[in-house]
Amino acid sequence: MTQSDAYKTVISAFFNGRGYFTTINQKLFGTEHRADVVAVLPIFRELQWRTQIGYAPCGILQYLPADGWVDVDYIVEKTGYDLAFVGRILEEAEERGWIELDLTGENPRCRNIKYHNSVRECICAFYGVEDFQKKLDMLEDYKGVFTQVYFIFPYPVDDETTQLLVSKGYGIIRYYENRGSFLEMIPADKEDVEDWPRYSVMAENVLFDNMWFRKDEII
Amino acid sequence: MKQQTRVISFSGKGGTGKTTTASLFVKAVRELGLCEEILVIDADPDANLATTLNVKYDTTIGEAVDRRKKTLEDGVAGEKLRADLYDAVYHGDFFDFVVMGRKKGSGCYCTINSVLDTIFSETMNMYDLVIIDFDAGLEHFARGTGSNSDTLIIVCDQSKLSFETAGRITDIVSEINLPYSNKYMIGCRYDDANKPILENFAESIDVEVLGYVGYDKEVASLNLSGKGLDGIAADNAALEAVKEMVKKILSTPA
Repeated sequence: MTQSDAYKTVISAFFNGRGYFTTINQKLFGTEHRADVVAVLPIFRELQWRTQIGYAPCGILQYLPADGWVDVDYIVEKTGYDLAFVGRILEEAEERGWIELDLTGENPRCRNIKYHNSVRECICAFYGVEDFQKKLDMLEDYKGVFTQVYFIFPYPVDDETTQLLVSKGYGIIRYYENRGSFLEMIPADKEDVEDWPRYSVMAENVLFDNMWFRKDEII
Repeated sequence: MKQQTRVISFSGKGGTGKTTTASLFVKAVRELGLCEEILVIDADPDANLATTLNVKYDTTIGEAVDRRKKTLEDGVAGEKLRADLYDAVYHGDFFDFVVMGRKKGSGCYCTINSVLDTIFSETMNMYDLVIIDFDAGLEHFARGTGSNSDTLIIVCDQSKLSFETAGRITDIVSEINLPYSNKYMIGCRYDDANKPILENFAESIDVEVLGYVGYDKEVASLNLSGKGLDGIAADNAALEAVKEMVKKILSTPA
């Protein structure tokens, strides 16, 4: 394990210990980038649904509004996938109870039954020592997905860096290496989610990844 | 980042109005809109919080634990405890609800109880507020159950016996050093003339009186008819009193 990996691991453990579900080196969907750590805070009832009926095919379901019927053609147009693929996913989603399909009319249509936002927070955390500028650029490419962004440093941060991060609304956490402790020096601003498609995919991905390993429990 | 989950535990002698007060707390939190995700735990073996909150449930944590213990003893593949525990959580309109219930099997539950504690701690982290209605007994304190709680509320009515129970609760809490940051007493159905008696007693055991929930005809009628307290009038005096208590607790650091 490299030192960088070790830092990512302790950052992930920090969030995990606070009730977040986390992943390390999380791919930022739709880009070639990876976040050091992504931490999501599950909504229990949504997690419960997913353990009972399986995980949501959010890449497709995210285009369904909370109420009302939507033509399947609309989803095909929004996703860019072919009709056969979308149809298969929707049929499976209906079998699991996520949606209701109506194939009686001229245009097949569907409506949301149980698919809702599954997490309350989606935090991106970076080890601030390596590739600092690259990480800032990466976040510019990925706006509207994370509710908060944190940079973690194992040393006191200089004024210039602090001002830069604060001006962007990013939080700063100091990691005290020789104690294994973290201290939130500056809380991150809470942002509204604007990019729901990428946010949903990210949230489902992290939830699924975390529930999967919890099935290893012996008791 | 999420703030620490607040955990409020209710205890006190049976019949003092503990469950009714806990239900009014749930209602008050909803009306005040102070917390988004709320978990209500009925940890009283004589579980009737579900009735006052108008929640239906099929299974309890105790039953889930019994099922898992049996499958482990029989050496057969069974549902993992986590999945069974998740299934035992029910959803009200704005809160989730779980009944601890009783374990009926014999023998040692130590390992399962440890796993139960871990999963429960993890699950509680997902909520802003957890409200626990404990039984009248003291056994759960001795076991350390509810040791994640930050606030303990002891409910007393106008009886010497409820004072004695409150005294024993505070004794055991300090004896085993349970980490409650805040301890309060609530007087239920108190005449004004008797309030100083509770206040003197509370001072003698170093607990603050959070407030009083007076006798309330509407609450009594709803309890008697088994309709639950969710339909209580928004300006009900008992509810108003509890709202002030909720505001105080949630503005006090854990």
